[in-house]
Formats: sequence, structure tokens, C-alpha cells
Amino acid sequence: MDKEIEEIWNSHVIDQIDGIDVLYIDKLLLHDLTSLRALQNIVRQGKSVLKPKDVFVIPDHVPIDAKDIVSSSLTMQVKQYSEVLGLNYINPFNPHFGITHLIIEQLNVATKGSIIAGGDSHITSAGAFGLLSFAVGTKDIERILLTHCLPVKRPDQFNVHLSGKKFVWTTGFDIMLFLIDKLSNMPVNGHILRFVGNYIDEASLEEKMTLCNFSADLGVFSSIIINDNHSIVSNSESDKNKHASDKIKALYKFDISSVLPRITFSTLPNLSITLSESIPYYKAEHPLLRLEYLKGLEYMGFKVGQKLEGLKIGSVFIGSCIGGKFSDILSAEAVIKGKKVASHVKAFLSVGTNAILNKAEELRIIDSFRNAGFEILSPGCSMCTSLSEVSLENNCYIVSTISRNCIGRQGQNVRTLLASPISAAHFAVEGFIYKYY
Amino acid sequence: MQYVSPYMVFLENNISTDNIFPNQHLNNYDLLDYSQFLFSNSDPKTRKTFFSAKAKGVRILIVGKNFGYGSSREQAVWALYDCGFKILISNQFPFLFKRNLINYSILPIEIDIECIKVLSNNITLGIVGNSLSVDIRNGLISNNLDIHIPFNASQIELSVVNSIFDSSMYQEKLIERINKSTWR
Repeated sequence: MDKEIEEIWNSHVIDQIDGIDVLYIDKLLLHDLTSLRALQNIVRQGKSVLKPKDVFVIPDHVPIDAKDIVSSSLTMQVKQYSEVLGLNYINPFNPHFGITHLIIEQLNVATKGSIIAGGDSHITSAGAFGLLSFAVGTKDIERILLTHCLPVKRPDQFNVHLSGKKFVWTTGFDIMLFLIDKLSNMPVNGHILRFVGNYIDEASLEEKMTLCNFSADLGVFSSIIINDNHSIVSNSESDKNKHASDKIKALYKFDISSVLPRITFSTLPNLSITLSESIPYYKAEHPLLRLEYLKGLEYMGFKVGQKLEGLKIGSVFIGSCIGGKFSDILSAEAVIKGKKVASHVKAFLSVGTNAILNKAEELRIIDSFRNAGFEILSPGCSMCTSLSEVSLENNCYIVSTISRNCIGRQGQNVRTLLASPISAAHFAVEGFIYKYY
Repeated sequence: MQYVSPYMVFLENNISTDNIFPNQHLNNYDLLDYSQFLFSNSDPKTRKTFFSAKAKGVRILIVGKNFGYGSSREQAVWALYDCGFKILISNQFPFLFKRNLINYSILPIEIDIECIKVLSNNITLGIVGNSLSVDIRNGLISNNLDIHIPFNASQIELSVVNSIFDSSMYQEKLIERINKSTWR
């Protein structure tokens, strides 16, 4: 760990058990699908939550308009247990409601230098605010509810240095598809990732959130951006001495100026190409075996050597914790404004939070989507969870601004292609994938 | 402590928790048996092998690299547990899934890829009838061909730490400390 991160970590170590740090967790963010059993256990055992005001429950996964009885019963119970335990339950009608990772600022939990735990793996997004955030399962949620602490082995750190000026159509989403491709074979599992470099210094807050969000899919423990990054990687002698004690496992440097908009072609976010490239032959450096590589292509209905350019798509989804931020919606609107979605495409928009929806309605941005033929879904995880009411046809190609494309992610036999909101908007209008730049 | 059981091999790499326990069943909050949705979006052969492992009382599962990556859903672990598995062996587990396994009393063991190849008996999906023996205290996996593979017992470290942490005596002390001091 370097000095800044070690400072955050050490200031939260309240005890040690057999050499493993017991970390004090400042805030805990829960959602509807992974927290109920923990809440039930505490009530059933007659115990209480140590600091209920530091726990936020946001039912973002089950859509507000879910009609099935199992889903509504789940949400109702999460609400009741949260209220019994005195937790901050953010109901879907609350103006602050939205996808957990996108409302941390509104909830006043984005304190620089703090540590946040969350029941959702993309909680790493919060690293954009200069804090450490990591995901936990249900049992660990229960531990944190009871004690506000968790035993965690001190992770290693690696840095990713991004320099250069990005191409006009390239977004943080494309840069992450590029990075996940490049880093998928590196030993980064369970590490803290710190982003540094001049691209990071100049990136907007929402762009930083995109980078930190998608880094969950590299398998990192946490990812973080701390302002004043440039000094860390400077090559001057004085800086070298200043950081002589830094213990960083690795530094990966990339020039992002040549990164072009990308799209995935298989069932892992690691496998992506630019819009004009053809699907590559299997390479030994791919993070899977040849047969698995071909199995992914078979599911997608693709062959090696094939170009995605010209592929007819059935649907487009713009939204989710990585693609449903205000800047994402704005960038997609610039593309679709005054145009119509292709007649064979079902297009959906779900902005990340109520606040973004209200702002976008006020600025008539949502009208642009409606007029273009988009169906507007309620804010939340929406079609990234496949619990939504929307169901797509068998083998349908959907271009989605989400971060996971594994088999069945958006419904059985649905084929998901991951791309940025700008790309998704272009493809919605034309009805097929093409190089728009 | 020693486990002796026939074992199942499922060597596909990069199997996510989405694959293990698909999204559309996550709203089922109170199932008696989570294994009913195990790999329910995957090919029938995979699903069939898991059900057959359950029927045969197989306790040990050898999996590919990065098995269990992605979403934090503990349901994936509950489903494997309800299928009967007590030990998972891979050459690399994602950190979050490893935590979840340990928290639900399934022991994750990481060994070299070459050792995985030896144990998997040249199959990528199937049940090996011959028993595997896992000696947890001494960190040793053995098969009936007299092959012995040591593993790092430090993987048990966290479960020991967890059991100390979970004791009410420790938690009372911890809470007292938090309440007394200036801890936030």
C-alpha cells in the first residue's frame, strides 16, 4: 500500500486477530437481494444493529413495478425488517432513491478517506470519491450490522497509470473494456487498484465513477482515485525518495489516446474489439481455454474472423450503475435527439436515480428519448438484473450499457453485447452495429 | 479433520456467480433448497452432473480458474452447499467468493494448476467415483493412486479468525471499545 491508502486503512484498524486486521466500517450500503437473511438473523436472535443510522438499505434491484408476488413479498420484508432495526430505508418514492452506487453523494456517505462496505459488487464505484469501498456477502453483512467491524486481510495494491487525451467518441466505458482486456491475466485478484495519471486528473467525477465501477469486474478488492495523483508516478528523484517506502505490487501504464469505442463479442467483459475489428482467433493469452472461447462464441452465434459491423440487433438498453448516470444519458441524447429508433429495435432507457430522472425530465432530455421511441423504465438496476418485467425474444441481440454479459444475464438465451451509452444510442437509431466515427 | 468422498470435476474457467445462481431466481428469499436453481441457465449436461453429484453424496468439487467471480450474491454459495459440497478446489478463487465460501463453511483450497490436472483425471466435467481424501489439519489431498498434494493451511486462517470474531465475548469487547472511544 502507498502512503495515502495505508493512512486510510490504518486509521480504521481497531484490532487484530491472529495478524488479520479488524477494520472499522464507516457506512454499510445494502440492497434488496442479498441482505434479507442477515436482517432476519439479527431480529430472530433478539440482537440489535450497533449503528443503525450508518446503515442504508436501498431496494434498487427489484423493479418498483414488479408484479410477481415473490418479488413484492421480498421487498416488503426488507422494508419491514429495516424499519424494525431502525435502518435508513430509502423507499423508491424518495427523491434520493436510485441505484446504490449512484446516490452515495445524496446520502452524505461519500466522505474522503472513509471505508464503505456494500452488499453489491459494484460498490467499488464509490472509490471515485477518494475512499475505500468493498463488497461483502450476506454473512459479512450480518457481522457489520452487529459490530460495524469486519476482519479483513490487508490487501496488496497495484496502480494503473492512464495518460493521453481520449478520442472524441471514446468514453470511460470503452477505456475500461480496453483495460479489462489488457489486465485479465494479471494477478490483481483481491488487490486495491489505484488509478493515477493525467487522464485521471482531468476526468470528471462521473467518469471516475465509471472507471471505479467497472474495475469490480477485474476482481479487485477496491478501486480508488485520490486527487493530487500526479506526484505518485513522477519520475523525479525527490519524488522517488519521498515514496521510497511505498509498497505497490505493480504499476501498469497505458496511453489511452489510441483507445477507440469497443464492444464485447462473447460472454465475458474481457473479450472486446473495436467496432471495425473482426472477432480474433483464439490466443493463448486469452483468460480461458480454446473450447471455452468457442463455447462463448457459439452462445453469441458468432464465428472467429467475423465482423460485428452490420450485425442486426433486436434491442438496446441504456441504464444501470455504469451507464445510467446523468452524463451517460446526456451523451446518448445528443445522438438520438430528433431521430427515431429503428423499427425492428426495442429500445429501453432507465436512468440511475430519481434525481437524475427529475432533472432529465425538466431539461426535456427524457422527451427526446420518448420521441425517438424509447420505452422509459423506472430508475434502479432495471434490465441489468433480469428481474424486470421486460422479456426479450430467444437469441435476441441486445446492446446494453451494463458491465456483465454472462450467459442468461438479461434473460434466458438473450445475447448481450456491452457498449457505451454513445455507441448504444447510435446502434438503436440505425438498428445494427456500425462504425459511427 | 478429514473428508473422504468421491469428487466432481467442473473445469470450465471464469464461471461467474451469475452462472452458478442466475439472476432471475434471486428474489426467492426463503428456499429450503437453493440447489434447485444451481446452473439453471447453463447447458443440461452441467446441470445433470451437479444433480447426480448431489444424489451420490459427492462432497468435493474441483473447479476451474476464477470460479465464482462477479456478483457478491451468497446464494451461489448456498446453492453449492445445498448440493452437498464441503470442499472446493481450484487454482484460483476470486477473493469475494472465497470469503463467502468460508463464511458458509465450505473450505476453498487453492493448489497449482498442474495438480488440478493430475486430480481431474483428464475429464473436464464429470464425477470421479474413486474417493479423494482431504486432510484439513495437515493440509494434504490424497487419491487412491498414492498421489499426495499438500496445500497451504493458511486458507483455514480466516475461518479461525471468523470464529473468534463471531464469539459474543469478543463482540461485546469490541462494541464496548467502539462505544467508549472516539471511534467515529
